[in-house]
Amino acid sequence: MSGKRRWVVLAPGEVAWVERRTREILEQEEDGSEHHFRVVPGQGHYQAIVEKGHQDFSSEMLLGEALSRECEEPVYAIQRVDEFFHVSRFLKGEESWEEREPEELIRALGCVSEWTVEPPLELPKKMARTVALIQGLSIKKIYKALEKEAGRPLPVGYYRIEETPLGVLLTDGTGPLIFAQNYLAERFPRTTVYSVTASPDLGFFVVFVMQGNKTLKFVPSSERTTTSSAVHEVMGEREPERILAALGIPKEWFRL
Amino acid sequence: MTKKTRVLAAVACALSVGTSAAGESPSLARVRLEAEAPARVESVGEIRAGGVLRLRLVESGRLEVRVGRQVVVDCYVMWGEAGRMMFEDLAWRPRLLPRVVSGEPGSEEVEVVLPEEVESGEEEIVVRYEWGWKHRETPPLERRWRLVMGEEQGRQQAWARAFEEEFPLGEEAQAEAEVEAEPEQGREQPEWPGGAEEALRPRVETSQPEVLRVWAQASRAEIAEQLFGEPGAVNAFDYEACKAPEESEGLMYACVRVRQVEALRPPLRAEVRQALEVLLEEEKAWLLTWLPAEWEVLALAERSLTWAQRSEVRDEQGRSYFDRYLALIADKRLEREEGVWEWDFLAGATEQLKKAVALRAEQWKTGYQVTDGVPRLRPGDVVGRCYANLGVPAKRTSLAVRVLKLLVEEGSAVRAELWLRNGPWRGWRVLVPGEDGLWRGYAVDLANLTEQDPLEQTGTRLYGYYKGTLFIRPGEWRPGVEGRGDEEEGLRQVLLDKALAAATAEEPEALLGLDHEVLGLLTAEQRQELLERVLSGPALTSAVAQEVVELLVRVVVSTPDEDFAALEHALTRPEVLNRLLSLEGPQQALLGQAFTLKALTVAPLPLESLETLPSFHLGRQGEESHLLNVPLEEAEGGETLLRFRPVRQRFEARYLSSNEEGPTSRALRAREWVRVELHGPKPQARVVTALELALRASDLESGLIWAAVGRLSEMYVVYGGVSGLARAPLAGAGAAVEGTTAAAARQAAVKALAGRVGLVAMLATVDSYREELSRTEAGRNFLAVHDLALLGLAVRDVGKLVTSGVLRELARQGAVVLSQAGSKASAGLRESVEAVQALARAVDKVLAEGKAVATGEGLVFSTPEGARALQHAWFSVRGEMAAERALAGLRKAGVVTPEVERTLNALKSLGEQSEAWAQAWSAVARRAAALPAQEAREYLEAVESLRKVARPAAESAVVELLLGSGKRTRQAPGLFLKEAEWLVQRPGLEEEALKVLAHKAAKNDLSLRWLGSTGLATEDLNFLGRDTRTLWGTLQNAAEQPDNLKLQLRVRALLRGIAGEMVMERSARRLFPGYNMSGRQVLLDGGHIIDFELQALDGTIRHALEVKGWTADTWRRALEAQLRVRIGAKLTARQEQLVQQLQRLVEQLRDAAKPPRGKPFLVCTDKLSQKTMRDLQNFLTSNFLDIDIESIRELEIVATTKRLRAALNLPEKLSTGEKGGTP
Repeated sequence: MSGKRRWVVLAPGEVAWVERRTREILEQEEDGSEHHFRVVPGQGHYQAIVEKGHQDFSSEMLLGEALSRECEEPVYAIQRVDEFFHVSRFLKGEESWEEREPEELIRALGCVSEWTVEPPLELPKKMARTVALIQGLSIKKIYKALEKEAGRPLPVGYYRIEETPLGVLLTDGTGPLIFAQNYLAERFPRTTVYSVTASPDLGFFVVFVMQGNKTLKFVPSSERTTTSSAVHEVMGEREPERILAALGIPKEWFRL
Repeated sequence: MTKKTRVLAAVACALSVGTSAAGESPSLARVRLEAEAPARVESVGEIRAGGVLRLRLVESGRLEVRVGRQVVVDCYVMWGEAGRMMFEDLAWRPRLLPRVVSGEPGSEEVEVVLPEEVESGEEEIVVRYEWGWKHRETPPLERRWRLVMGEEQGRQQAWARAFEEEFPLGEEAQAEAEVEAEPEQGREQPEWPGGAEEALRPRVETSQPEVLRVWAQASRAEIAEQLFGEPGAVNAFDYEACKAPEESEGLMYACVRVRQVEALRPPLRAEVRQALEVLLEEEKAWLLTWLPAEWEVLALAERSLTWAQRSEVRDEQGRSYFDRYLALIADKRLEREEGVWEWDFLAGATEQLKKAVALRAEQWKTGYQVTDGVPRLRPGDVVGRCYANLGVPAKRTSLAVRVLKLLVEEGSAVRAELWLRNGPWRGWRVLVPGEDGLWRGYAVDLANLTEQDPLEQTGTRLYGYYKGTLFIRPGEWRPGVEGRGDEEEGLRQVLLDKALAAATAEEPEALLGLDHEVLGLLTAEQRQELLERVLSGPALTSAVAQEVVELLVRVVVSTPDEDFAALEHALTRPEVLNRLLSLEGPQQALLGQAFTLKALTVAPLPLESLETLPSFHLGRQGEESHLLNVPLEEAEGGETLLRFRPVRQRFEARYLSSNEEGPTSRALRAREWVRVELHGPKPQARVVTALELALRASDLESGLIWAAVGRLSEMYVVYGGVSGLARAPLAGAGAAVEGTTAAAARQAAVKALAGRVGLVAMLATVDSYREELSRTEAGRNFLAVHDLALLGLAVRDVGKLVTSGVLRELARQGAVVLSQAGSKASAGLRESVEAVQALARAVDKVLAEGKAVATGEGLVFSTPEGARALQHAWFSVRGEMAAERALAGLRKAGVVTPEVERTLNALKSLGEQSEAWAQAWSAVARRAAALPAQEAREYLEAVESLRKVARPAAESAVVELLLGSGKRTRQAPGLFLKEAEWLVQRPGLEEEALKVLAHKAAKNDLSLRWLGSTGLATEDLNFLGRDTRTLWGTLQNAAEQPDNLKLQLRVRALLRGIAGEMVMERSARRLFPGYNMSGRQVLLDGGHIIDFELQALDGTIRHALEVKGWTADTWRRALEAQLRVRIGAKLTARQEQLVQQLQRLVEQLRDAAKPPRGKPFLVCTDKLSQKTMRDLQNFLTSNFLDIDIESIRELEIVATTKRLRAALNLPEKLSTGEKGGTP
């Protein structure tokens, strides 16, 4: 579960009153829903009623309407689905659409709500290594093209690049490979680019073969696939180790 | 500048702007703002984006900096005792503090880094300063500038904006994952009366994570099971007072401190770690503003000792939390000689920290030499510190805990603790593991020179220097720790024998230290012998009299049921009782309560009618006191009988006080029920045993009577003791389920416990109305029986409760309350009393129908529906009760018709058949009963009409709608049902969609009148309707506000996501031949929700399928943003959002790829370029995701979006004028 709150209601009044009335209103439901909420005291006259991570489905509208009948000031109900919010404003039971963004509204009312601010997602540190075999191009030509794409000269060692009898091997150096091989495949439509992504033990092993506007994907014959462009062998080989050998890519290059 | 001479001017800002991305030259501006003088603005009115804003701070106040609508700084600025500036962040915000450039007194300066990009190329920057208390009358200072962008910045921003307008990020709101489980799950398995299992889950106290909140009435074994997965681990935690009450949802909670966090069940352990991580962050923040002032030194010393206690708790990397805490304060160490840093920054408290480091840290060192005796501590050695508020509430005092003498030396912790807890030393004790593998118990003393006793203060905490230290306070008893059946039974027996041998009638002290676990081993003869010693000699009149009564409480609680009669006989011998009754102090009332509780577990204790019970008054109200004399008499056969002679005392100023004696009651047995009205600040009635009343009455001080009454929740320790000894349900359930695995038995036990909680929680609903009920005698009577029932449930003996007639009496008293209160009763009170009444009747009903049998372990259900039978019966009974009331109202008003009666009867018979209908019936009947007669009739006619027009597929929707109409807040229930008629009769609507739509309408989340006015085709209505996450409110608002551009853009994004899924559903056969669509919005194990699930036609494998409605350009920009992340380039806010979206997709697909499912599928628009498609594939594989990507036609997505827009009456062309008021 994402841990995100699905709704919050902002209501004026004393904390104890807001809490008691909220409980009473929800208990009157008796429809089998669970009621898990807590009241987070605000700095001013408004308090935030926050659901506590349960599927207390749609209680916010009910609370907004019922509480607003007992208050002089408006009550706000905020629904959330992922990044998307819907804010309703209730005055004496009448609902209208509130234009203010939840964050702004919560702030203006001096309230608290932990879900309006989300910590940024942490990016995974370890990504699978990709090694590309580019056939028919020289190292010099490849570097020149990549520098042109980057818009600046690339420092020595930015990519690990080696000439082999089968073509040029290209992978991460001090800089990441990322989509460079795709760029080369697009820039030089006549060349064939093999893009191999694998885990060190080859338990994860994916090969794309790109030429012109064609992309083929290696899928072991034992696996189901819906991809129409699937091939079951690369350079006549079907096993990861043998495919790597056929492409002249040392297995050690996939160390993380 | 000193604090005093600081001028009101307070804030001076200097602005410096960094070099922009395009290399534009930096500009510098200085602005000085003064509150008393007009602001002088030098050189600029605008600031470049990406620059730095510098603020000079000279006066306390609240600083806020906003860029557009984004708050970038919000904190309180203040000056501490030593004249140093410090910040306090606002509790509800994440940390939004400025960076300190200079903290030097007199030249305090902070800076705020401004964002690199701004909306629309220009934004307003606002600095606002609210003055602290000293100048609180002065209006806040506010200054504004324009924040503008350079040329290159502008170009980049325009690029991002163009994209955003074309396709705002809100689009995934509808379609994407990570929402909670479908609410329908909750509906299919409704907890009754409210999430009992959830309520039972132990909660980590975030402020002290090694303390967990558990259900107060659970036995020790139950708690051990929940915490450690091991019911036998009753020694692994200790009760302690909760720091602050939390909302209890009708249940009572207690707090337990876990001795070994590492022993907790993995999910709980993870929670504790998480809370510790948060605490560490808080410590970091606190330390930022820490100053070596006296009180702060002590505060830091105590915090350090708190973390020292966590030296054996490890984080996920195996690091000790104490070490991690020390890392935070390590920079405060002083360099004593070159390269030698010492923890010498705590002045007088330095030694505390250094000793803790020496004895508990693993990675950190100190030169401090511990001089305590090793391995055996010597008298005078300091084993720990006690922190308490002695005298001044907010001021902490630190007392050394010194060893007085060695009490015990043992090879195991359990044995040493047993000796220590049950030995003759009853003062402070401590158990310390030695380096030689032996465990030693010492008598200790607090070096306390004040007159205050730390034991009596709240907030007293003890910290041990040695790892594994355990403190035992005087009077710390452990009911519920059983004495039988483990390896240590022999040792307990030895302790018991020793104490019995040592104690004499004149000097019974040796017995006073015995805890429940040892007293539980007493044979009947030994118990008699013990009682003889303490009751026949001078003990009850000596200085230890209260301790003797406490011992009696423990003896009562730990006596096996079969021996209780003999114990009762011994306690009620006239000479003993006379002595007990003549004692003064609060402990007698506790003894009385323990007696009542034990009596309830031993025998059924029939309760026929409250009115027939002898009734008494006790306590003081105004000038009048109610006392009771308790003359005793001996019946034939040696049984002591109690009589009560009421005395009413009046104090009158002008006359002498008057005493008025009432008639003496009939002779009562000790176990007989009596009713007592307790007078005082909050009058209340109680049903108690005659012995309890006598013991309460012995206390002449009415204040003490009140102190002893307490709340039931405070009795949890005794509950735990009684229920634990009665028979731990975990053991019981395990034994009952022969041949099944231990896990299944445990599960059964947890279920039984949850059922018990359910009943208690139901009864507890009345608690909210306790005050209202207490105002009348009938209400107080009801509460008296109610509390007794609660007590009965707390000792888990539902069987006895049912057969004793307590529940029946409860129902009867409820009826009396409601009939007497009439229209004066608040609706809530009526509801809660009726609910309890219904519970009592429902129990009778399921017993009478043979659906359940009452046993000592609780209600055992004999039908397949199990405990749900009780729930069903409860709803039916409620419906029945309300229907009677409604009909009576209609008859009285003369508006009852045969149709109305038929409607109610029809609902009743439906209610008999299914629980859902019983709920609906209950709701309708209660609503009708609450309406004026004419409206009630119209409402019931609307109910009938809805039922008549509904298609068979709409039955669940009708139930939902009736439930919704029955809400007390529903203004016009009849109209609500009328507006729903089109829905339940519209052909082609699927049952699932109908049910969700009806449920949403019932919850006011959807207007059916509006929905009926849209032109949505049946197919679309089915699709949108069955998705619980459809934001109908937003769609309706958009239809009503066609000129609101912002809203229209949002809705377009929303509809595109929906359209993508719809097209996918239609294209499924083409795209995935060989598969069937087997699910939609499927919840995955990892908590994500995936759009669809496919199953191979041969049934062999299932695959998750995610549809992304993003446009081709969104994909391209998202992947480009991803590329920027990898090369370490800075991202704009928009790019960050895109990266996050991609990251969520990865997490979702990882979840979807877990076995037993096969590789997931990703579906996106067919407009992706070759390069973007390859980049996407690469991005996924580099995240270890081998995914097949399929395409749906962009043309179809667009056409579907247009169709939905037309059906919902949304504008096809958007006006480019005003953007809905929000830029």
